[in-house]
Amino acid sequence: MNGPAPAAPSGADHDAGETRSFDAPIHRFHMFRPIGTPASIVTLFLDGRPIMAYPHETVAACLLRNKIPYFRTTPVSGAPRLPYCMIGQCFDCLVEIEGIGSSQACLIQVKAGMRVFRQDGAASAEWVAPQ
Amino acid sequence: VNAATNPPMGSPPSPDADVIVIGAGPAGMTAAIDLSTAGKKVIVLDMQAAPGGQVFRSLGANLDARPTTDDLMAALGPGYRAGEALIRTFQINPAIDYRPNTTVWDLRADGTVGWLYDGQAGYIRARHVLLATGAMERPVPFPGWTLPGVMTAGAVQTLIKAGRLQPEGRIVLAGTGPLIFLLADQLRRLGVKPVLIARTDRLRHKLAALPHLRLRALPQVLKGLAWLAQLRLAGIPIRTGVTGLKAIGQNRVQRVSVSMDSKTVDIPCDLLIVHDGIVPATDLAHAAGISLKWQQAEAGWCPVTQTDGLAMPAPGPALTQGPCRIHISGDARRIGGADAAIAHGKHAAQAILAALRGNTSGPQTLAAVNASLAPRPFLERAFPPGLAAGLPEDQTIICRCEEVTAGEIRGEIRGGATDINLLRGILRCGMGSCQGRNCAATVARLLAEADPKAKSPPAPFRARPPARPLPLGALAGLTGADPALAEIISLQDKPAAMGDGPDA
Repeated sequence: MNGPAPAAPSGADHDAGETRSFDAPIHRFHMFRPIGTPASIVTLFLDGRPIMAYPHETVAACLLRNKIPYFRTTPVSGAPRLPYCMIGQCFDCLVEIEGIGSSQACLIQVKAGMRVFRQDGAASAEWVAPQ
Repeated sequence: VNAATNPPMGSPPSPDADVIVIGAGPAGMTAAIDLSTAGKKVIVLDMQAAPGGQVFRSLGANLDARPTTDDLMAALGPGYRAGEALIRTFQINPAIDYRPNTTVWDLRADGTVGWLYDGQAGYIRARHVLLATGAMERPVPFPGWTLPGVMTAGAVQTLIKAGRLQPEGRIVLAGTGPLIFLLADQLRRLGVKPVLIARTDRLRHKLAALPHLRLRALPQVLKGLAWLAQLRLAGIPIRTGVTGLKAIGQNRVQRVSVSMDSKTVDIPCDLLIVHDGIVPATDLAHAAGISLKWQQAEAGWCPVTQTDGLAMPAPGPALTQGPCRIHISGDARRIGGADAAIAHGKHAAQAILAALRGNTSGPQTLAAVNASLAPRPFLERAFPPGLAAGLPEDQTIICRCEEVTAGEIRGEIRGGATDINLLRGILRCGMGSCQGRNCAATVARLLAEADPKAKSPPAPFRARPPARPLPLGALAGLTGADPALAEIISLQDKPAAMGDGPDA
């Protein structure tokens, strides 16, 4: 029904195709896969490592498609979180984007070369003003 | 404050537009088109990158990307495609000052709007503000709802529409409402087969709803029955009357437990999709001091407005001078879906045009509003809040941001903290990034639970700007600030938004 994406084959090959670009020893969550084939691909950097992004995506959709197991940990208990509402109401998708901490990943479109960091606990002052 | 760009103290700043519309969904787009066609200067602020709202999210981009999106468009069906003409009409209208990717973080009854775009922020003003910010899913705390892998049905729909993604793995849908069937049908068309659809609604709800079924609602009901038939044909297990939903897992959802037919079943799960109906997004109305009314049948608030959308300020001292210039339309006023939002967007635009002319609006657009809301009495009774029907057990997290449990809140209430703002001060519930959007209704209900004399739950946490996070750099460079407003120093500057009591 859906054409396979050239750079991200669906099904069993998925991990092999993507772990080269993101080699952290983490368990990846199989929750979402692309519908159809994207027209073009850009690269964004998650925690300093390049990952493949599609220009139509929000940062949240991109990270979920890349099977990232959590976006942030909570400031209170350190529990991992993934997006819950995807429409800007739950604030569980907070990440650092281009130096701005606690950015809502579900509201921001990906851009080529965008630097995204997952957030451990609260956004720190360093993240607001790097260096 | 730059003296060159701001008027001297005492004189009110001149308006930037006749009308500022907040939200570019069906109601906001419709009203903006009608207002600008009538020659009014309209600014539209929208949090999304493209017009459409949540219902028509990314429709323009998905149409433009055909044929790569053919499967996606086929799965989303005619209800999604239906927004094309409205979006195109909105986009080609050169008179509309449309500002996407813009977050509104403050709203005042005098027509002042605080905006944030790409790290820059400021205030703009209009003679009237139309709040068309739509709905959010009713927040429903249950054990494990903060685990990664638990998402709302709306979130999954957004990922389909805007992310061109489909869920995979072992999927459980739980909750109630027409959106469950719509999503399940869309998933079926994508070849995705949930392992279980666990519905909280029962046959007796449908029987109780039947007398409220209007002829006009029949097409919608038949569509729902067709979805249901297709799902049964596809062999997807559907259970009704389900209770006791729990998400279980270490660092992610791994199992889901539900009670059905007086048995508890525990099933492996990779993605738990929950939905318990939708409620108006009241955050900005509340921030502006608009009165909110508790709707017992909907386990949530709605703003108090006239039929034409004009919002009613809460009693008490107002933050700003003069009449209330805020109107509310679409799902942000009353849940009704896209068609109802379009009908009300037209009606609200006529009312604003009449107010700008200084006369009263005719009733021509009102009939369509009433017709569009005809299915609601049936739907509300057929799909009452289910996951949110009772209040959670003590161990359940209520405030997702600060991880405050029902037990902690009940403990403080027993200890005498019977004011919602005091509870926030003590426990930090409602003080996190979401500013109480996900916990306020539950905290208010816990207060009502402890006070048998309470007519209805109290108003939400007192709101103060910014209603959404504002980077310090943006605040430092704030433009368009009103010097007169900076003079307000009292802590009693905001009225407590007390509603008119339960559903009138």
